[in-house]
Parts: sequence; structure tokens; C-alpha cells
Amino acid sequence: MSILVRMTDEPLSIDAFSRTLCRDDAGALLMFSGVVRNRNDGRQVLAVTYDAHRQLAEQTFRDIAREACERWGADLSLVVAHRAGRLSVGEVSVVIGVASSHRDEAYQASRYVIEQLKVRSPVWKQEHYADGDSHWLKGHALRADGSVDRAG
Amino acid sequence: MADLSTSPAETAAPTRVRLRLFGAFRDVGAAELTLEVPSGTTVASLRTHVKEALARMLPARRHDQLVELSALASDSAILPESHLLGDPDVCLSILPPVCGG
Repeated sequence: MSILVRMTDEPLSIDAFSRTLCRDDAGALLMFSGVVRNRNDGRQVLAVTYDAHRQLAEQTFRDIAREACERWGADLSLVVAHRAGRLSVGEVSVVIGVASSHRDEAYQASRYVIEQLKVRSPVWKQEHYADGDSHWLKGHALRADGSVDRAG
Repeated sequence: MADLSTSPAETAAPTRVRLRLFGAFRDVGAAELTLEVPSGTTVASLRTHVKEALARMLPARRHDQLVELSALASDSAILPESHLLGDPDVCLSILPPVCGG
């Protein structure tokens, strides 16, 4: 099991993270990147500001990655990296990388990690629109017991 | 004869809470706020103090619902509602509903 987590202000390099995952016994190397897109809910988006509680965010990344290893094998290698700050359309906000012996585990672990990150990690998005308006997106309420709830 | 006119709780010093603000709470124009609350305040009752403090900072916009939906956390964990703020100086964070990725 190999886990690398990062919450950073710096641009995320998919190539650099991919290189950290390369190993001779991995038949699958799967990289997912989340990218700022130019539309959401019918509005033209120019940029997104990501805010984060960095210490807790990295802790949740680590917890989620460990869970993926428990479910899909201790031989997984994972990278979970998220960028904070103001990102323009086309910039990468999050990278999930998985290396495994076989592709099935990689696909499942990758999907699990990004879906869990979205509902458990203390990260917030403020969209900036072409009309000059900005808006913090609604999300999932965090609970002390770890349960997940869709909030307003 | 014991002095029964005051209880230990009444004479206990208040707790100073440094509360870091995240997400939509940053719209109040500050990264954190400082509160003084009675000794023995729980996370649940801290919310009332937070609502009042935010209302003073930005009277034109109410954050009551967002405070109710948010979690309160130390640097290592989200705190249960029953958690007692025991220390005289406490640093916490208020975490709105999350939407990263």
C-alpha cells in the first residue's frame, strides 16, 4: 500500500503524480483529473475559487485512500491531490491516481475515492460568473459520526 | 461554614474561542473571529454565540441556517454536539457543507 496525499496552491502535474505511481508489478495505472468547466446550472463560469481546511482535507484523503486499499487490495498505490485558490476554466482542481495489478481494482478504487472526497473532504467551491456574480456552491453536511448528508 | 453564594461554574473564567471561517463564511470579510463564551459551553450551544457574532459582523445577511448546517471541528476531528469546550483558550473551525473535487 502506497498513499500520497496533497492539498496545495500549486498547479497539479498529472505527469509528475503518474511517475510516482509507476511500478513494475502494476498492470494498470489510472489517472483521473477534475477540471474547471465553463458552465454550471446554465451559467457561464469564468473561474472557481477552492477553499479548504488543509489539515483536515489531507486527513480525509488519507482515510479514503486507506479504505480503498482495504476494499480493493493492499497492493494499490494511490495519489489524492487537490488544489486550492482561484482556478480558471481548464485548470485541474483534483487528481486521483491509482496503480494496481489489474484494471478492475483501479477503476473501482478511483471512482470510490473521488465520490467519497466530494462528500467528506472539507473543500468548498465558489464559482465566478461572466456577469460578475459569485456564488458558494451548496454541498454535503459533515457529521462527527462520519455519516453523509446532502445539505442545502 | 462553606460559602454557598456562588457555584464553581459561576466563578469559572470564560472560554476564549478562536473560530476559523471557511467557505461561504468568508463573505463576512474575515478569516476568523474570536468569541468569549461561558465556561462549560458545548459545541451545540456555541452555535448560538456564533450566529450572534456573525450577525454583528454582517447585519445585512443572516448566516443562521448555514451555522446550523455546518460542522465544528478541531484541527484533527469534527466535534460532536455534546463536546464540552473545556480549555480556557480553544481554536476551532466552522465547516459549511462541503463540495470539493
